[in-house]
Amino acid sequence: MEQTKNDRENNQTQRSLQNKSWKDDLSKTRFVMNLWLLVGFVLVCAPRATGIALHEWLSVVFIVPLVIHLLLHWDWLKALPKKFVGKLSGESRFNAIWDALFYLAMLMVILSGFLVSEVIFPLLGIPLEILPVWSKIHHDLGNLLMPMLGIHLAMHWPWIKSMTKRMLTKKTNQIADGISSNEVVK
Amino acid sequence: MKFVTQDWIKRSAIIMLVSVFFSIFLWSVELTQWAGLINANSPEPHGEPKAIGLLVIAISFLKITILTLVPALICYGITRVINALKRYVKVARTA
Ligand code: HEM
Ligand code: HEM
Repeated sequence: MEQTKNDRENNQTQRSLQNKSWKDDLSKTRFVMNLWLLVGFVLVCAPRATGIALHEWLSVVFIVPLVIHLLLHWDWLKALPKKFVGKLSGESRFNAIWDALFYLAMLMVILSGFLVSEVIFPLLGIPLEILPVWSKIHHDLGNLLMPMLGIHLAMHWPWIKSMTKRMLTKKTNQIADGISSNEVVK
Repeated sequence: MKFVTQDWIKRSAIIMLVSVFFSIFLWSVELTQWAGLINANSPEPHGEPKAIGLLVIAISFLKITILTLVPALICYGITRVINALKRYVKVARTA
């Protein structure tokens, strides 16, 4: 019940406030937050460029846009259990499985990152014996996240394209609405 | 920002709790035979190269771009082929 009410409110907001700030529009909010997420991801994936200390702190900060990304798809997450029972298009099902795998891989990289921490844990005075297996997992899965993100983005390419157009033009009313993933779910 | 802040404390807490729960499971990988094998056969951890030069930075970002974009393009190509096939089958059926 609550979900449909929220959806209705969001859609109304999207229609009536097209020319207002991005903060009043769910798709635009997602776009802006996704940009932060992408920038964060790129920085976190380049520990050799940033140095290990910055890599560790950036990764901790990166958890914030990551959680925001999930908050902005709360309705999608809530609908997920129903999605496998209900009849869904192949594409939505693939997305659901892929996002679940992506989530688990991301979690494993963050967990293993903490377990090989050379800066944060010693700073906190927590003794840590770094096991080679966590180094291997962090290294291998950390590198695997990039192709996984590539596929995640490719699956949402129509949204990215239409939203980029919408963000770049002022006459938003004349441009077709971005395909909100919210609407795809419904 | 209202979409981010809507009920955010409760929702973030759920996300974090679920993540901690899964992490505990993922942590148990450490106890498997596979992990033991890797721990036993690994040489001493190597020191990470300290030097951060322009070239290292450029190569890092090039690596990220290629590792992300190549699978993205392949995936996008596959989705286009699948959609084209679907359209073809639809047209063939109605014809
Ligand atoms: C989304 C999160 C993260 C990603 C994508 C990520 C990715 C990576 C990558 C790609 C490497 C380089 C491996 C190599 O090629 O040498 C690395 C190394 C490292 N990361 Fe992360 N990382 C993340 C989170 C963390 C966190 C949370 C910590 C600790 C608090 C951490 C600590 C380290 C350390 C100490 C190294 C160097 C040691 C080693 O190579 O074993 N990382 N990370
Ligand atoms: C790390 C960088 C990431 C970037 C740049 C990114 C980007 C995007 C983009 C552009 C979209 C489509 C637009 C939208 O509805 O917001 C999207 C959707 C989504 N993403 Fe991500 N994402 C990332 C990581 C993740 C992770 C780790 C998860 C974990 C579960 C995730 C879950 C989702 C979900 C559930 C959707 C909606 C799916 C749908 O409607 O079918 N994303 N993401």
